[in-house]
Order: sequence, then C-alpha cells, then structure tokens
Amino acid sequence: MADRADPAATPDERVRAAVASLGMDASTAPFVADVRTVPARPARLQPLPGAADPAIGRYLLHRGIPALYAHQAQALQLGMDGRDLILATATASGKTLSFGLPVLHALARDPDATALFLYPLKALTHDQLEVLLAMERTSGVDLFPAVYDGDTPRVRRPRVRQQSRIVLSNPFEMHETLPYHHLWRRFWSNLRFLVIDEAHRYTGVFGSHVAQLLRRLLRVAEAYGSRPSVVLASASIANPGEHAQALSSRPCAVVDDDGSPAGPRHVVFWNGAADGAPSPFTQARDLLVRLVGQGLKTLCFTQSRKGAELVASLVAKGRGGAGLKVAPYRAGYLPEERRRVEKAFRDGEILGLVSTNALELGIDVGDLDAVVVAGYPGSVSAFWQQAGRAGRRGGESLAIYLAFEGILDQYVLRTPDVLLGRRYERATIDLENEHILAGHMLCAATELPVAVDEAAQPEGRIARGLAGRGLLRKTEAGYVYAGITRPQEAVKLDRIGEAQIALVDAATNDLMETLDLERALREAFPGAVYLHGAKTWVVELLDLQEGVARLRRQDVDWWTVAVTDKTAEIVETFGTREHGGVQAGTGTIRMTHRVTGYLRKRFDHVIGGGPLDLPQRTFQTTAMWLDVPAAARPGVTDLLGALHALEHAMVGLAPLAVSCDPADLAGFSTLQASHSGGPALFLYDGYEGGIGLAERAAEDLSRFVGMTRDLLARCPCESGCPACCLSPRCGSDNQPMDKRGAVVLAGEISGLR
Amino acid sequence: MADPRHDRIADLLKSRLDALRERDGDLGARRDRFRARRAAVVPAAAPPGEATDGVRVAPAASGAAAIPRFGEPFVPAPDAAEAVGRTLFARRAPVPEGPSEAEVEAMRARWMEAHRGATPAEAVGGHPSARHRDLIEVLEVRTVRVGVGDPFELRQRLARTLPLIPGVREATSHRLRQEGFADLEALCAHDRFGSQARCLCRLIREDDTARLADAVGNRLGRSAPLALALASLLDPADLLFLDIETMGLFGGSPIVVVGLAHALGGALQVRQWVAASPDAEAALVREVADAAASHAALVTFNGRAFDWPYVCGRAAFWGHPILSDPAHFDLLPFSRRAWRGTTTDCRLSTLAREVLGLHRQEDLPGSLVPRFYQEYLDDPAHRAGLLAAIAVHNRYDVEETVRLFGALQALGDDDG
Repeated sequence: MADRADPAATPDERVRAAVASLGMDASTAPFVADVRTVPARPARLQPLPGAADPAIGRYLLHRGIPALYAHQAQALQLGMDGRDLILATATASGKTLSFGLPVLHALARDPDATALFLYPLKALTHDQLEVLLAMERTSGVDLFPAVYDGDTPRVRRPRVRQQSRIVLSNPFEMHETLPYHHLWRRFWSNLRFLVIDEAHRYTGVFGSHVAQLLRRLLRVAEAYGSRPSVVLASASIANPGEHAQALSSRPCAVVDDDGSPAGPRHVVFWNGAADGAPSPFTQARDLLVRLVGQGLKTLCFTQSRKGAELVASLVAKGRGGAGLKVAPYRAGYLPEERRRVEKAFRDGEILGLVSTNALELGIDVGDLDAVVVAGYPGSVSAFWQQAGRAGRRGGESLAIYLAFEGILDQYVLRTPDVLLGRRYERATIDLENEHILAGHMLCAATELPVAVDEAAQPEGRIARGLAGRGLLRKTEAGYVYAGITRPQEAVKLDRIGEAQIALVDAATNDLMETLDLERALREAFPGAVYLHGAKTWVVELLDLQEGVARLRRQDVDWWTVAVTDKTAEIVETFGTREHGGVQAGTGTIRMTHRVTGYLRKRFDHVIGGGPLDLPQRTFQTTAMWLDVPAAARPGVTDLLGALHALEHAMVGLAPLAVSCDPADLAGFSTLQASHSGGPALFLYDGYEGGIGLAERAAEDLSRFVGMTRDLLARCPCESGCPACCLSPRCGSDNQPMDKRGAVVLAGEISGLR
Repeated sequence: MADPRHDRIADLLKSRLDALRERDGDLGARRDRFRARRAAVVPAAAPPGEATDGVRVAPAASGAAAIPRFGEPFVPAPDAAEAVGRTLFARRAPVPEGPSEAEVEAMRARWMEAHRGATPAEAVGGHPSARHRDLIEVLEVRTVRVGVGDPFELRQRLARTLPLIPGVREATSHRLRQEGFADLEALCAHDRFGSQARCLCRLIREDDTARLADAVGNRLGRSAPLALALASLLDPADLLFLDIETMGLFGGSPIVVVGLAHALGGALQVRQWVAASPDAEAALVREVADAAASHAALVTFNGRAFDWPYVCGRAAFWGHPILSDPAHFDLLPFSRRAWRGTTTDCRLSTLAREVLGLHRQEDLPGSLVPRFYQEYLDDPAHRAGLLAAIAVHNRYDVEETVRLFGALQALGDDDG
C-alpha cells in the first residue's frame, strides 16, 4: 500500500549522505564499481470516477487519500465497466488498492456479491486480510473477509462458506476444494470478482497448472450462473497482457501506466569479489550494519536461506553490530515467528532485516530506506522487486547490488545495463502440455461432467486414453471421473508437498522448523552445522523414519557442506535419431542423488569432514539426451565445457522452445555417461515421472539446437553471460564453460555451420 | 489409434492413483475404518498398546484417562518431539483384515455364476425405471414393522427435561425442581428462563421436530437418546431410511446403488435404485432427492458425515442441487452410546450380528464395492452378477438400519 505521508526531508538527506560516503570512504570506495541514479518519477493523480460508490470515498477519506494515482483510477474505471484486467506496475505502487477498489465498488452496490482473492503463498493472505478488515471497518460495507486455506480450522470453515463475501485463498486450496462446490452455492452463485495477485509467480509448469485450475474454477462459477471479472496483479514482466490471457483464459486490459511517485533511486554496484575483500556475507553484514548505523531502515536480501542466517548471525556477533537490532526472515520459520518479525520491522523495533526472497512478495513491512541485494537474484524482474522495496514514500532510496564472485554475478556487475535497461523476463504458460491437460481433465471430471469434443485434439485423444483405463466414463452429459482415489492428490500443482522433516531442539523438544526431505539430506545430516535464528546448531541425529532431526545449540566457528554425487541412468528408451553424427534419444531416466560425505569448512578452508551413510534419493523422469562422439573438433578445446555451455543455453531457451520456465527443466553433462561410457548431455524434466518437456524438446531438435547456436554465436559476450549460457541455478558455479566450443557442437548437431 | 504418448500419460496418472489407493488401503476398508474410528469401541479386555479394529488403544495407564476420546485419532505422546514426528508422518491406523485375493476370486466366481447370462436388471431383480433406461428400480416388501414411541409420552418427557433451556444444567435443574418448577410448562412463569421455556413449549406443541432436534442436539449432545426419541413425533411413514454405495469415498466418484426404505402400512417397502451405467447416476440422484423431499426425516447409519453430503454433492455435480435440509436421525452416535464396550466394533454389520442376531449370507465386504463395480463396467453384458453382489450388500445395510432403529427405540429413555 502506498502511503502518502509527507516525504520528510531528513531521510532523503540521510540516503544521499550514505551514498556519498560509500564512494568516499577509503574502506568502501574500492568496492564501489559504479553508482547510477534512476531519476524520480512524479505522481500523476486523478480524481475518483464520478460513478464510484460512496463507500469508496469513505474508505479513502479514512485512509487520508485525497486522490488516486492514474493507474488506480484506470483500474477502478475498468473494473466498474466489468472489464478483465492485469495491473503490471512497480513494487509499492499501491496495487492492493488498485484491485481492492473495484471489488469494494461491486460489493457495496450488490449486497450479495462475493469475490475470491488468490495468492501464491499462505503468508500473503494473512497480511491482506488485515487490509481488507480495515476496508470493511472504514467503508461501512459488510465484507466478512476471511482466509480459507489449509490452516483454517474445520469448525470455522462452514461459516466462511456461508457468510464471507471476500474469501482469501491460494490455488492449492482451490484445487482441493472445488469438488465440494455445492457447499459454496451462495459464494459461487454471487461471484463477481476473481482477483489473482502476484500473477508473475504463475509461470512455467506451475503457471500452466494454475491456468488449468482457473479454467476449472471459472467453469464451476459458470455452472452457478456467474461470470466474475478477472483482475490480475503482477510484478514487472515482459508480457503482461499475453500472460494474463494465457492464465485466465480472458483477454485482459493491461494497466501499466504507473502514476505512483518514486523518488530518485541510487543503485550502487558493489564488487564483492574485489581484491582483499572479505567473504561476501561479511560484506553484506558490514553494509547492513553501516546503513542501519547511518539511520537507514535497511533490508538485506540473500539468495539462500543459509545466506540469510549467516548474515544475521554475523551481525549478532561481529564488531559494531552488537547493539543493533537485526533479524533473519525466511521460509521454514513458523508462521507466528514470521509475523512477529514482520511486525517488529514494520514498527521500527528492528531496523535491519535479512531475508530470502520470502519478503519479495507483497508482505507489508512498512517504509524502507535501503535495500542490499546480496548476490544476483536470478532475474531482472526479481532484482527490481527486491530493490523496489526501498523508498515507499516517494523519497530517495538506495539499492546496493552486491555481486558475489560467481561468473554470473560478476557479469551483471560489469554490465549495469542488464539491470538498468529493465529487460524483464517473460512469464511462460503452456496451454498444450498434455500431461497437465490430462491431470486437470480428471480433476474437472470430479467437479462437473466434462464435455469433450472428440474430434478436437489433443483433448479427444487424452479423454479416450483416460477412459481406456477406466479413470473416466463417458455419459450423455460428458465424461465423469470413475476412479476410486482423489485425482487432486495425484495431480500436484507444484513440486512441493513431499515428506517434511521436523527440526527439533534436542534440549527442549520444541519444534524449530520443517524442511523437505531433499533439503534435510543436504543440510541437516548428522554432524551438519545448521543456522537457525542467527545461531549455530549442530545436528545430532536425523531420523528419516520418524521424520525428525534433533539439533543441539552449540557455538561453532565452522560450517559444513554436503558432498553429493549425481548420476543419470537410462531406464527405457522411447526412440533415438541421428543429428549430424550425434545420437539423440528420448526416454525415461533415473537420476540418483546421494549425499556421500561432508566437508567442514572454516571460512573457505577445508578443516575436516567425513563420509556419510544416507539413503540415496532416486528420481525417475523423462529426458532427452545427446550422445556426442568424443572425437576432436577444431574449435572445441574443452568438450565438457562445451557440453555444459550448450546445456545451459538450451535450458535458457526453454521458454521459447518448450514453453516452460527454465527452472522446470534440468540439465546434466558428463564425459562418462553410464549408458555409453562416453560424453553425453541430458535435459530432463524436473518433475517426478516427467511432464513432457524433454520429449517436446526432442521433437524438433534441429530447430531447437539451431536456435541455441544462433543465440550463442550472436551474443556479443566473450565467454558467456546470463543472456546466453550462464545460469543462476548451476550447481557448479558455471564451470567449466566453453562457449565457442558449444557453438561448434551446436552447429554440428543442427546442421548449421 | 495407438498413441504411445497419450497411453504413457494415462498410465502415469493411473499408476499414481493406484499408488494412492494402495497407501490408503481399499476404499471400503478405509470407509469401514473411518466408521470404526468414529465409533471407536475399546473392549474391556484389549491388551494395552495393541491396535484393535484400526483404533490405537492407549498404553496401560490410569483407567479412564487412557481411553481415547471418541472421534479423534489417539496419539500416545508424552514426548513433544515424538508427537511432532507422528503428526507429520501421520501413521494410518492399520486396515482391518480384508478378504484374501483367493477369497475375492471365489466370491467373484460365485456371483458371476449365479447370474450367468442375466442382464443387469435381471441380475438385481428389478426393471428399468421411467427416468433412465440404465437406472434399475428394485422393489421389495418386507414384514418389518417400523415402530416409533408414543408421542404423548415423549412430549411429557421433553417437558420434564429442564436442561433443554440454555443456561440450565443438572445443578440448576435440580434447584428449579425444588423451587417447584417441575416442568417447562411451570417454568414459563420464571423470571429468567421464562421466555426460553415458552419458546420450547411452543415447539413441543407444534411438534416442530427439526428445531426440537437442534435444541436437544445442542443441549444434550448428538447421542442423547432423547434426540432419537423425537422420531416419536412423526408418523413412521414419514421416515426415509437411506444407504448408498459409491465408487469412491471423497465425493468425486459416482454413486452406484442407493437403498431407500419406508414404512408402508404395517410392512416395510425397500426400494433400490441401481445404476447400470454411470449415465444413470443423474436420474438416481433425482430419485433420492424426490424421495427425501416427500419424507419428514432421514434415518441413516453414519449418513450425517457420509451418505447425505455425498448425495448432495452428486446432485450438484449433475446440476440438480438439493436445497432442502431434512431432519436426520443418524444412528451411529446413538449406537455408540448404547453398546459401547459390548460389541467387537461399531460397524453396522457387527451391531446387526452381535446385538440383533442378524447374520448376513454371502455378503460382499463394503471394501470391494468399487472394485466390483469397475469390473462390472468393463463388461456389463457378462458381469451383471457383480452388480447383483453390490445391490444385495446394500439391501442388507438398509434393512439392518431399519432394525437397528427399532432396537434403539426399544431401549427407551434412560437419560434421566
């Protein structure tokens, strides 16, 4: 929510002084690679549309808001006209108000009307509930807003279904609850608005699932005679209109003419790998301590949970930080704990906060002066979402990009235009993925009969395939589900949901937090040093049977890393084909991840370690692979580097080639594949059982590899950059990497030389 | 039409669903377990810590405190960490022993043989209904008398029950009696409780079963015998006994058979609707809705949690929502209260056997209903016997519900 209190002059001066001192102090100047200032943007205001319900006026009066920003007024007008729309304005531009006002208007006009608000995370709904409760109090319109999610107690559910006019929920809950639509008759029959916040999060496979879920949801609403307006809100992405339509199935007006004011934003490019630099986390701590000491309320984003804990613990014990109030914030903490930290930060009790991207979404933590982005967050959109957290009052603000020593981080540091040019990433939705379509067809057939046009493809064939296995049965009204167990449980919207391990304080038996199994094996193995609450704990025991890890509080000055081993094994081959001397295959593979041991490190020195006997994790999925003959090629100096670069570039192009998010597809390159003993490149679906991505990549392989070759060959960088073959998700810091070699290989495979 | 990709996708989904099914145990076993757990009965002689009928029994501890609270899975966890582990990895109670594969095979063979060459309608002994050609109606009249108590006596009993008034418990009730307020009629003149008493007296005068049921349920609990005795206010012909058979437990799979029973003269008419194909389910659900609308109250065994919401869900699925909310006598809580500790478990068939002395012959275990129906659907022309097995099982359930109702009524008023 934008707050339009007087932009006080003093904070601005403090920000300017902080920027100036960074560049002048002998201790900091050597690290400052560049300082750019994004100029201020003035506010553009518009009066409330004349036809708006008086309730809106009352509400704005209470909030002390005399006029709306241009985009808010536009959204309200479109909403009043019954149009579907997507808001794609900057962080902190008052998006909640933008979609809240049209809903308030509709609900004030029609005392039966209802609205459904969907958020990608449970944590967000509680924050938004407060806003809506305040809206109810001050507008005088009975909204009975309520959260309905997995945490809602059973006894409270009937009342929400029968009474609430605004229900806040998430896609996972709707996925489960849709078959019981008859319990929601009043709600569905009067549904006027479907609000989808943080729409940019619904990308790739997850987004494609949500797109199908929303179709199911709108189908149920239609069965009750409702056609709600759809309002989406998104962070900046390259394709808001296209994304909104793919997600919601409706053409949406794009509201991106941001009328909110922004003060000058100073962006400092900080080289965390300059000569003589301490560890990047120490630098993050120093920056945080320094800025907080200069009176700036500062949020430091780290790119991992461990990073957040590390920085907060360094603050707690380091020089100058002792008296400061800094807390860590991340997923995994219990909700009460998170809410306590949010509130303390909002109220100014804590001046510095270290967080993972858990705070990137719209959780209200009040006004901030400065943000430290420690490490490249993986995308331009994410950087601006984090940086945009500062300067909520339209005052001056500071964002520091702290580049780690990784190749990708350093590239962004050297090329500030990557960030400043704001070439946002696209959000990708695939409406044709047959795995996803089939799963949702089953789910839909538990909700209402599904009429399928037998001639239409692929629906007709999918339905026949499912009917052939007795999962669907054909009736005059359409297909109905005829399986025994809930398909909603077999069709997961996202990868989350596997077994959870409880971390327990061995001394008190208190639950500290929960981790998924994969992460527990990597981070909470016996002997591991685990950071929680900015303190070090040592894992005594990991009991996978009981799902519990016991940790004991102990001050240690080392940390641990798991040593993992990764192999790919072909289980079944669907087919192979030759492309320019390279065998391309598709099939089912078994990936095996095993934690074989660990290293104990003090700073960056290995001081010990040992073997570990932990169960291996196997994962079966579909893959495509390229068997590349080990023959010498002119121009390829490092075959593994060339394969690695080609693998990354192909994954990077996945949104265009196979309509998924790069994170949905994984790659693996080796010189000694288990099936051939020779060099091979694997691309595989990051989903148990496979979800059709690698198969699709193999379908038109020459074209895909040709595109990849063009990308690599035309990219002006010398030896790789995030625009071609450097990946933020690489497990081996983008090493080795042979971009030129990849161009040669790709030319060979695609037949373009 | 060989399409390996679509086949693979369908196979993958099927294998996931099968895995879930395996995890949960067969549907019916789950439903039985669900019922058993809700009806948890701890036999006096159960060795401590042993699982009995899918219910974890408390480890030996001090008497009553060790008996699990009914309706809640029991977690023996003095240790917090252990509790955490348990909740996260919720161990499912052991599934009651089902029939072995060989027994299932033998059962299947007997049913198929008994109805070899029969059409579905012939096998179940019915005829296609007017509403849908695949919906089979099976009618049977039994010489079972549906009895209810004496309404005059019940009204007096209600009037004597002062704790029906909010705010009045045993102690207050006792005091009020000593002050001369013997019944609600007398209490109408009371300063504090007068208005509530007048309201209740009006409900009793008007025989408002539904609102009286609310009052009794809220004040005395769902299992209070008085709540069941309210049926005395109704004509026996106004009670509709109901039991359904389904392909799934979660509400998203079709209902395949519904059994309805009601008093007709001095006898019992049992009417079953059998879906010979999923196409018939819409018509089946409408028959149930019509029957429910023409009766004042439903009588079921666990129907409050399962059968009736399921019917309502399927009615909405087919676009013919049921808007009425009839009075409902669910016999499960009353049975639990009446026979707790005296029977092996609290499943309908167990109660019928151990309390009423009714033995089923050649009965299909409920857990096999979905499987038999799936197999029937794959070849309806030759497997009508499997459909008959389900219909017979359902008829047992309905008739036993009726007899159990009679037995519970006969127990009379022991709620002081």
